[in-house]
Amino acid sequence: MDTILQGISNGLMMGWIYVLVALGLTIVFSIMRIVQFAHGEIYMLGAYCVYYVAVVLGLNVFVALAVSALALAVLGVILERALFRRFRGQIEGGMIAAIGLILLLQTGAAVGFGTQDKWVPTMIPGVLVVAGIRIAWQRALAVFIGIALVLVLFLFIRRTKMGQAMVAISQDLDAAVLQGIDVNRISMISMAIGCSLAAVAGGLMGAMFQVQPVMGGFAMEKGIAVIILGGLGSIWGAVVGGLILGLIDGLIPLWANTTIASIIGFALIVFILVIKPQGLLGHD
Amino acid sequence: MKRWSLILLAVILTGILTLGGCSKSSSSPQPSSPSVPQTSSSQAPQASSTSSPQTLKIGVIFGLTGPGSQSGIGWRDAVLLCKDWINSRGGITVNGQKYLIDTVVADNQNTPAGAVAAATKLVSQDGVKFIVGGVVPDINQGVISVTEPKKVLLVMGTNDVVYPDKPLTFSASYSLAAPLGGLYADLYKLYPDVKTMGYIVEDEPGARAVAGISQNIAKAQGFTVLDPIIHPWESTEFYPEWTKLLAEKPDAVDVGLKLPNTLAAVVKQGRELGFKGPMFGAVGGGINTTLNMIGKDAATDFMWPAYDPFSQDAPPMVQQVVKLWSQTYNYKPESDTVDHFNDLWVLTQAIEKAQSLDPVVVAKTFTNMTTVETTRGTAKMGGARTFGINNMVFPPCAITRLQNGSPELVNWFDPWMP
Repeated sequence: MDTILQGISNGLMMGWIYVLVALGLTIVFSIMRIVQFAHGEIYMLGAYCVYYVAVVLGLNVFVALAVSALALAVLGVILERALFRRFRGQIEGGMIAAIGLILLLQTGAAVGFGTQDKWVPTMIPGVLVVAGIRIAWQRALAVFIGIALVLVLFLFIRRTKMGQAMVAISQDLDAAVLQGIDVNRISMISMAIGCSLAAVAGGLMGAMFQVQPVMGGFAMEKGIAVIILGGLGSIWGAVVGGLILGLIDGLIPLWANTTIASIIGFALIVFILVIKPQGLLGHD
Repeated sequence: MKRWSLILLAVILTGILTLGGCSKSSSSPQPSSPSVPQTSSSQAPQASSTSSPQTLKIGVIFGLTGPGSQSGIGWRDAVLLCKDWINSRGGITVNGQKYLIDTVVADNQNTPAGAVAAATKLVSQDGVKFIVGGVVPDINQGVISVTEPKKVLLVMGTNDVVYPDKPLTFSASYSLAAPLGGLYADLYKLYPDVKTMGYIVEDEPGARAVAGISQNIAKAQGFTVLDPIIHPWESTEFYPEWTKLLAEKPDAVDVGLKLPNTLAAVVKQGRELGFKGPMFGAVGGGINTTLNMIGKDAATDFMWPAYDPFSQDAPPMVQQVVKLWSQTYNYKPESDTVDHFNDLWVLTQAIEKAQSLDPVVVAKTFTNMTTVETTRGTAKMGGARTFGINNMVFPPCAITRLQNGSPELVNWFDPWMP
């Protein structure tokens, strides 16, 4: 029983990490109707930013995380203005632009930062033990931050004018324009938020694993899986999708192995898409 | 008329291009060009030792990009340092003619496909007859698939086996399984209460082979051996594997053959999930890199084949290499980095002993050598009884233990396999 509870705990922790990764993707898609395939590279840049601020400059890791979120938010604004704006609403064009950006950012990171693995210091060392279940504080931190960000995002969208404007754009772009909503400004802000979230996820993951130019691949693989399962453009869908995939990855290996868990996860996605193509909580 | 003119023009252009292509291919580097060694069918010129040195081109293949590239870059630098050291001593002498080493580096991208591409480039484009480098068995296979058919001599950095049907393939260090005997002996000595062994094994042929040998040694020594937990190649998330393994309550865990970043993750996460017993692995990875990646909190009761190259007790040649390193590069080497100095050094010793630049002749000589000098001291050639061919170098082996965040040398021993 302890093993199963530990497996559930492992799965939920990984699930929240997947949610963190997927949140930014889902925000960008819901507003800009672009699947930002370079989201994994933004996540990677976020991790590098935390490394350079915390390790090279020697600042506090939490300060580094904040700096990384801010820096990547600025990058997001630049990317939206210079690249993605012209492809808003065009899935194919946006996809190609994002793929080009992947190559640019990944190669740039390898050349600029080097191909050697780097590591971010653990933000909170030690292990929390609750009823025999062991949770590394670093992972618990990722969960707390994930939950906090989801709540903040939810409140932002529900309670602020800007959030409501985002909802309006996601529902009907033309109607939003007719209502006088500045779509360009909202898109920039959405992209900034999306990149910020990716940076935070990257920084947290860099402290759990290693920082390397190719680390974005994991983020995209899981991020895309989560938002497809949960529903493109749905924040709560990202949460549900992330936790489901996390639980699969945490529990299935107890009886089979990690590879089987991945297969089951993707099989579930295909099954859901067949019976509900818009995802679990997505809209038509 | 106009059509015929166009056809004639096309034929003339095609002819020009074809002739130009033929001309270019005949002037591109061939094995018989002066700077590249002749095959055995023609004798090397009998030059006096006072004639100017010629160049011997040797290929170098490591993973310079992709996972584990941090180590690959250091290993490459060790080979290049060896080249400079050999050349500073006048190069090598074959039949009275001096040769300076020129290296051509290729990146295997840490994938078998990348290894094939890199080896193909070195052999077909650069015309090398000798190649050094490579540590991951699965990736080494990619290189071997190119070098053996082309009669190119390959000295791998390490490999799990050598092959009787691949006489031109050598390993500059012992099989990755060779330290296991010493690791188990030290485990028994330092942790006498260990009765049950667990295993976390990467899904890679070399890793599985080494794990199999480890389990056999454990069974022979009377340990209870748990079924291995297999994880995907290059995985860095081990909570599911550890959770499953801990349910079976192992006293000690062999973390298996892994790249340094994967090794660090498995050790760190095992400690996070509460495993307090000893861990070990027949892995590479220097002391500082491993310690930094694992983190001081988790770095305890972990043993692996490594030594501190900066220690005053390090072998004399290691100290010399470390000194040269500090004069050449602006970062510190690890023990496994220094070891790759041997990849090129043992090859040049074999060439000088054979007094030939023909890879087939050199291979025959190398196989029949009984000892060869390495940075760790005099190494034995071995493997005939174990693998069917005497193509493996067995330098002395050191075991280091991380204890409470600090490394300590456990012992040196002879990992020779006959």
